[in-house]
Amino acid sequence: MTALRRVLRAPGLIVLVVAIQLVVALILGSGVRAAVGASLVPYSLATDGHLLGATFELFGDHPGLPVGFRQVAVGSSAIALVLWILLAAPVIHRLRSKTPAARLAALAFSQLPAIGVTTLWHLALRIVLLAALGLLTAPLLDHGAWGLLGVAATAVALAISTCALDLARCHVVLHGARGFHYSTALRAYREAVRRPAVLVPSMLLSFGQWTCVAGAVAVAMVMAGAGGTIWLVRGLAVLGVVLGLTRVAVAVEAGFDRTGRG
Amino acid sequence: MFEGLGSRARLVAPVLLALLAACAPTPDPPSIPEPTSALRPAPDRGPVPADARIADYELEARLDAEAHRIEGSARLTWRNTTSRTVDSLPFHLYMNGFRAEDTAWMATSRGNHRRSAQSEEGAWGFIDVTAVRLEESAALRVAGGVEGPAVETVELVWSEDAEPSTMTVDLPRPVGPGESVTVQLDFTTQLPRVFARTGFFEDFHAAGQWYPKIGVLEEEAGWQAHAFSLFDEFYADFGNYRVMLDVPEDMIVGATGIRTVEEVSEGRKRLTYEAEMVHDFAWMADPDFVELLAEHNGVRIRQLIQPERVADGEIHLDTQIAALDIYESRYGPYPWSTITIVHPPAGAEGAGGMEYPTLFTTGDRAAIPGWLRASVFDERMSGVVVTIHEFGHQYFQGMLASREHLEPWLDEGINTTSNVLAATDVLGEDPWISRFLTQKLYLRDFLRSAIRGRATVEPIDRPARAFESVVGNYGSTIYSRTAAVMMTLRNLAGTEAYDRAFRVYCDTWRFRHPRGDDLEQTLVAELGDRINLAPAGGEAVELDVREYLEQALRTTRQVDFRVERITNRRRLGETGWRRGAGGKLEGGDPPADLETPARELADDGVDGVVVVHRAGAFEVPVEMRVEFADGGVERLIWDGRDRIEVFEWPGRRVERATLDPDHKLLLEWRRLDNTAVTASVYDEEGDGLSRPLGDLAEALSLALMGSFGP
Ligand SMILES: [Zn+2]
Repeated sequence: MTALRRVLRAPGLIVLVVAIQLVVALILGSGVRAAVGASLVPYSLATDGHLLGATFELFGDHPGLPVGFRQVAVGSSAIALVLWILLAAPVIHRLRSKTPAARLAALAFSQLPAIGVTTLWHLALRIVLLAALGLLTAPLLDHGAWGLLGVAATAVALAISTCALDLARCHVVLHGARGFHYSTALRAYREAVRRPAVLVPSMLLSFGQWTCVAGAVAVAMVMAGAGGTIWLVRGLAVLGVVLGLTRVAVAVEAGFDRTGRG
Repeated sequence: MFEGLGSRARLVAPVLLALLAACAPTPDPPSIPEPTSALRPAPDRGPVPADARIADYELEARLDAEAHRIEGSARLTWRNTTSRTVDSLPFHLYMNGFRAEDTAWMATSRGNHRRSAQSEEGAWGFIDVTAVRLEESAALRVAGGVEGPAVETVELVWSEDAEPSTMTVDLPRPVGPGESVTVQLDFTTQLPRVFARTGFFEDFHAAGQWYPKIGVLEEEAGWQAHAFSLFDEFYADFGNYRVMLDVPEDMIVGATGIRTVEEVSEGRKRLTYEAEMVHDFAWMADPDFVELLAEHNGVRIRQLIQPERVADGEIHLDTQIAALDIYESRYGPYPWSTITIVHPPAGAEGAGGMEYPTLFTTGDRAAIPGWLRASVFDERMSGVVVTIHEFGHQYFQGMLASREHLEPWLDEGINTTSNVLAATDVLGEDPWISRFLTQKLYLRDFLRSAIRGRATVEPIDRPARAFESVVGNYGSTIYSRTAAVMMTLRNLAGTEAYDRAFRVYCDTWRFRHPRGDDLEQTLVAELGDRINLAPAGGEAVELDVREYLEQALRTTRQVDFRVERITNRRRLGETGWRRGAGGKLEGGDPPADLETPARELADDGVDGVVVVHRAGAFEVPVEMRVEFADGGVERLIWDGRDRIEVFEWPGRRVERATLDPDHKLLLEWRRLDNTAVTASVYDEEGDGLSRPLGDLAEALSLALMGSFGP
């Protein structure tokens, strides 16, 4: 079964993940919309393209507004971090096979400690990897287009790291690997680079997902104020979710290939 | 995997860098000879009045690059061109500002200048004058009735003043009107580690304010030699300089004027420089400098740049060439034959962004890779703006040598205005200065954001020392607000008329010491006392130029207008009781549509009303653009005198009113309340900002959740 088929056979999962993201973002975004609107009423901007200038003036008059933006960023990151540690086990189980919702909910909590610790070990390794890479590629930034190489290397490292995280979580959730031991996180890195059949699709899906999320911000900037912008933004986010779930499904499939059982 | 990737990358990076170095084109420096005269040929250099030549210096300096110390001597010939008689000579000893914690400079700066700070290594700088002698000229001796050889010297008595950045030399006999005097001074200058314009960093040496410099004798006020404090810059008379520098052989040197002699022997290099009609002499030396030469309209442009920044040379050169053309056409011919642009090395940023005659230091362009500039983020400010600004000082300080310590706005502020104009000349009206994806921040937005907050709390026209560094409003008040004042006047008076008037100021005060009054009087004389801003045929609405400048320069009044209200109310009808032909009351029909909301009435059944409010104390005329439901657009000018003005259009429904629609009032930094729409338009269009910002917040939230997500 392909990874994408696994995802598409779990429409409830897609709807759940998409709904959580859209609702959280809508609540946070509406807060900003309302606060900005209340600060401006009854004035209307004829910004003739001077959106940044008007924004800086508004932020200068109402210093609480940029703080609101920061809260959106911090809040979304925190919610995402907690949510995806909590959801990792049920998502992986559901992508493996159809499982009753109650059982998934129970799994979310019973496997939370192991998933949480594996994730922390993984993040520690990721930080070491990225820091080392940063030191190596920083000199390239001063050399024009060669700097792109550094950025590309960082993206590749991140994608490998993401694949390793998916694998580590699958091992913990599906195959009883020791979540509390750093070796599980470390072995997942080794497995990722040794199994190109898993790594390559996982990386491509990561790149696609990041393109979607970066694209969502870019669209909001480039098409600022145009009607329908927000729907394009949301569309990209939904696509990103589907790509992300498919990436997790790639790691789930990898477990089948290795263990031969489901 | 980490190990594997790491070791491979460790191999790859140096190889890439080596390849890069091999591919980079080696600059082939064009050989452009040193000019033979410090001034351009007569037809090109514009008027250079001979009577402006007052203080000639012959300087000798030997640099000990290890101790960062200069052993120097000066021979100054000073002419008294006033009707005063003087019996002493005041000298600036600027370097003594860095001598101790309690000097005026250190006390006002607390060892900080812009973003650089004093450091423990090389903490102090000073200048120690060891001898002052008077040359007895033949003329003086004959006047005194004494026989003797042609030139002999007399030891003079001198003493540092209580604030050691100045000293006074007593003369044995007074110097009267038309007379001159020649004195010799021996001195030792210790350079501090550079954090404020002058000093050393490793092998780089920036020698500015390094020799004893005579004050300026003014006709009314007498000697002017101010104690050196944080925001005080430099004020001096013009003259010719001949300077002999003795430096280690490996030093590459840049200096004011032209190099006339270069001799190398015994590990030392002896260079002679000559400069004409300048009021200062600075030199910089660094063995690492790479020299980039160019020529434009007969002016030799020499950049001394650090090897790792050579690639930036081109953009600085292009900027310099554009600036030279613009300044010559706007403000008159550039008189000198050289421009030397010094790029201080990393670590010596404190030396950057400083003007000296024919030589200035610039700043580095932000190290944003080209691909990033082309895609996500670009800016047009870093580095090149410093080059434009410091070149601008060749005019507004170098030639129009105003009293910067007393009227800093006339120097820094007018120069900043000229920089803004240069930017619009090159980049077009309303240029952007930074860009994120497709969203741009424009120069006018930047200027407006610079003149709010602390920039509003003190008047512009005050001496430099009246500004306390701890308030943090010197730059924004003097540079940015002055520029906004002048650009606003230019927009109101008409760009051509203003540019003509300003050119008269430049032509009149070349090689002089203009004052703020001189500029103001020139503007009033050339633009007229009062300028009618109303369109032909309309009722006059006048801008009082003198009053404008008074408010702008010497008060803290702010320009701020707002549309207080925009609405439509039911049009006045004609129903009710009226006296008929026989004197009887007739009619009495109820008014039509009395209970219909105004927004539901026909467009010609309402009177459009706009209430404008002068929220700031600054009185200046302002334009208003009004849009009507019938598609019509009207513009009108309000004199801005009263606090509130009500405008009404019978039988026309207004929809939108915009104050200052053409952004003429750059001084008005609060603009969000300048456009208002009626409630029905608001319901339809929104405010224009809450949607894009809300969308962005939502996108940001989705992006972050997606990044951390499954
Ligand atoms: Zn300046």
